[in-house]
Formats: sequence, structure tokens, C-alpha cells
Amino acid sequence: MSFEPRIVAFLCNWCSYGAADMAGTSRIQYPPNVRVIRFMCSGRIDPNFVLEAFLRGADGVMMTGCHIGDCHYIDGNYKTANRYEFLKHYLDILGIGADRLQLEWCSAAEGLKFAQSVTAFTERIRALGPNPLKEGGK
Amino acid sequence: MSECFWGWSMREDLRKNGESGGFVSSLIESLIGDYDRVISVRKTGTVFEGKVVDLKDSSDVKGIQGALHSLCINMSAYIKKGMRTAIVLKPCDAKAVIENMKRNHVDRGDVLLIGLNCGGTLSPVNTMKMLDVEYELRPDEVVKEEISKGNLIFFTEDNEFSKSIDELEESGYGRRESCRYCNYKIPSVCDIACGNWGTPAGGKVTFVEIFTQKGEQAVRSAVEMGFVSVEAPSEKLVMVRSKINSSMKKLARSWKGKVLDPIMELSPIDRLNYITNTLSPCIGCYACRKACPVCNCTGDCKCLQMDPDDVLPIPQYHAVRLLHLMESCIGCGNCTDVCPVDIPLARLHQLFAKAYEDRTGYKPGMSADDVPPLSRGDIPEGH
Repeated sequence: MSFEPRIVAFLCNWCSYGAADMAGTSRIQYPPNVRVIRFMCSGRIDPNFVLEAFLRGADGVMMTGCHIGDCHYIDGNYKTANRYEFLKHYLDILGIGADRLQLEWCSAAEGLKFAQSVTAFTERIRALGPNPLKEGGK
Repeated sequence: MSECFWGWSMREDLRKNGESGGFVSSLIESLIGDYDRVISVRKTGTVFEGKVVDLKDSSDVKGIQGALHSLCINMSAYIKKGMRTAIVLKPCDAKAVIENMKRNHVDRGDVLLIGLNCGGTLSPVNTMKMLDVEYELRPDEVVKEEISKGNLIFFTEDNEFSKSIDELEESGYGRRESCRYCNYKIPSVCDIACGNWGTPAGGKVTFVEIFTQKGEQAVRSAVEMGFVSVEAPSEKLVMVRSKINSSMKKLARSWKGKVLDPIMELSPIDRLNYITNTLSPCIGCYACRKACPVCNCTGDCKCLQMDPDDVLPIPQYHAVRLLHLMESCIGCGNCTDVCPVDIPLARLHQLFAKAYEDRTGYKPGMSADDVPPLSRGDIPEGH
């Protein structure tokens, strides 16, 4: 069987979840590989959630939120941006690889951008192959 | 700002018996009463045993040992917020204190840090084995140990035994692993740094470097009260001291090249496997978390809420600790010391910390005003 990436996407309630909704109502096609988890703010995405997703076998993790300056809680996404950069260093040193993590800013009107970034990320993970932690029968 | 002196004790017994002129003993004696707690280490029995003591009066000072190479203990744990404390510590303890200042557990104004130059510490168990195998000595015969000119020297009552530290370490003895690649030998974050580097042979004096106003004040008042005496060091020996420092740092770099760099040079998959396999014996006792001087969340500590029996490839507890300590591990090696299943935890934490340092230039434990690059709350570059 060919490899189908399993991707966990953390979406913020105010912008990127709206974007995913927009993509749906506009009938924009995107791969069904993402599992969406909704947060009230992307600033709520604890690095620990990302780690746990990888440890439990996700092939890729997407973090999405409002554009910088548009956060519903003013500066929640500043924290997201910092955590993303920090996690990239961490995943790189750990050996999982920073490529498997993606941060995308999508406003509620950017359904097309959301669909395109999911498509691009899925293709990237497909090329990278399965999560190395999963090998060995997990 | 930094000033250098040679200092020695004015008390005859301390000058004679003290490691190098008894300067530190007399300096802390002068601080009793000024500070709520005056903390140092006292030898109990052999040179491989000791305990932390809170000095109450002058009679407590006798037998105080600034440097016990085989006492692996983190002195920063003895500093309590709100208590004025004068404490004698080694460079990694000092870095831990600085990290605790960042976390608002210690006030800079409350503490006087008397640092000791440190070329590395020894693990007691390993050292006793080494004494038996390499030196053919009994631990209770040893009255003093010293690291000098690349040799590890043990003194008995009437003899001295010296071996090259490089050769010992190649065969698994010698200093603790985290000390081998530690490149912070003179604790410049302290108020005062003392040591025997750059002192005349047999001169019974301590080389004292003063970094802060507070340190200067402490030394000046100790001189005025007649506890210690100081003089300017000869220029030649100041140079000797900085030469020793740089050669120790060179040795540390070469050890980093032998221990950490090969792991970083592995392919990502092999590195991941190495980390996974190294952590797999973990029994979830959390001793490393409790011994860690910089990891001190109280109450709702996230690490301790992780399930120790999770069946994930890397225990989530360690995944989180590796992440958190990436920007704060000071490399004291306590986690390795306390691990009951001998996981080289300090090596893993330092692997992340050193790689992060190479990428961002941020060094933990160097200044209480330094904020890690990605914890400043501003928007990082590129967003």
C-alpha cells in the first residue's frame, strides 16, 4: 500500500478555522490527510501538543493562526511564532526534522490559501516519507 | 571591571592547613553575621565525603573545604529567596544561580557569590574504583587531590601519585563527563572568583579576582577587620593563570569534539535512534527533574504530570525536558549523577543546548539580564 501521510493540524478558532470553513463552503478541494484540531487561539498550542502528535505517530504537524497583528487576543500569535521557531530547532536536533512542522497564517477569508498550503504540505510529507519514530511496528 | 589580587588568611591555623592560604575560609568567616546564611562545604572523613554547612560562628570555619572535587552537589539549591546568603560555589553552581535569578527565585541583591575556579569534578564511585585499579591506593589513605598541569594527583601522608588525566579519561576514569567538555572554568558571573591558578608554588596564597562592587566591598571589609591580607600579583603569574584557563578550555573543546560532535554528525535518523535507545531504560523515577538546578517549577509542574508508563518511543517526560532545557541547560551533570539506570542524561541535554548555542549564540547562565532569543515576546524574524 502506498504511503498516505497522517497530518495533525492545529487551527485557531477565529481565522484559520474560518479559512478551513471557507474552503469547504467554496467547494475547494484539498487532501483528506489532515486531522483538524480547533483551538481558541494559536497561542494555546503548547509545544507539548506538537511533540505528542509526533510521538504518537503523526507524519507532519501544521500550526495555523491569524496573521501577525490580526490575533483576536492581540498578541497570541507572537507566542506561536516564537514557539514554532523554537520547535524547529528542537525537531532538527532531535532528528525528526524541522520540515515536518509547518506554520501558516490564514485569515478567515483565505480559504484558498488554506487549501493550497494543506496540499503543498501533504505533498512535502509524502516526499519525506513516514515519521521515523513510527518505524519498527508502532 | 575586574581586579586581581593574591590573598591569604591572617589566622595562622587556616593559613597553614587551608588549601591555598585559607583565604576563602577567612573571607566567609568575616561575613558571618552580615549575612543570614553563610554556606560552604566541610570535609567529613575522607576527601570523598563532605556535607554542606551553614556557618554560625568562627569556630565553625575550621575544616571548611572550598573545593571538594568528589562532592557532586549543586550549591544553588541552598539559596532561599528572601534570605541574605553568602555562598561558596563552583562555576556551574553559579550559572544555576543566575538561571534562578532569571526565574525570579533569587534576588541578585541578596546573594554574595564566592566562586571557585574549577577544572572539573570527580564522581565518587568511579574515583574509588580508579584509586583501586590505577593508583593502587585505599580511599582513606588519600589526604588531598588536585588537578594540575594535565595530571590528576593524589596525595597521601608522605607521598604523591600522579597520572595523566588524558590517559585516565580515555580509559573511562578521571573527571565526570560533563566536566570534561565544560568550557566555563573561572566563574566570572560571581562577585569574587578564587583559585590556585596563578599563585607561586608553595606560596600558600589564593588568586582572587573581583568582578563586582559588592565583591570588592566584601574583600575590603575583610582586610580592614584583619581577617585576610591581599597584595598585587606578579604580572607573570597573571599571565600563567590565563594560560591555564585557555588550555583548560582547549581541552574542553577537544572533549566536546569527542563526545558531542560525533552524535550531531550522525544522520538525523541515526541521531533519533541514538536518543530513543539511550532513553529507553528510563524507569520514570523523576530523579533527574528533582536534581536539576534550573528546572524548578513548583505546584503545577508539567513534567511531573506526564505518565511515566506511557509507551511512546521517547517518554514524553523526557521529550518535554529536552525541549525546555535546550535554552537553559548549564551542563552541571547532576541528572547523570542521580540516574539509577545510568542514562547519560547530561550528554543528551548538552547535545541540545550546545547545538542551540551554536545556532543562536545564546548561552544560559551568563547574565541575569539575558533573555533567551525566543522568549522575548516580540515577533521573531521572518514573520
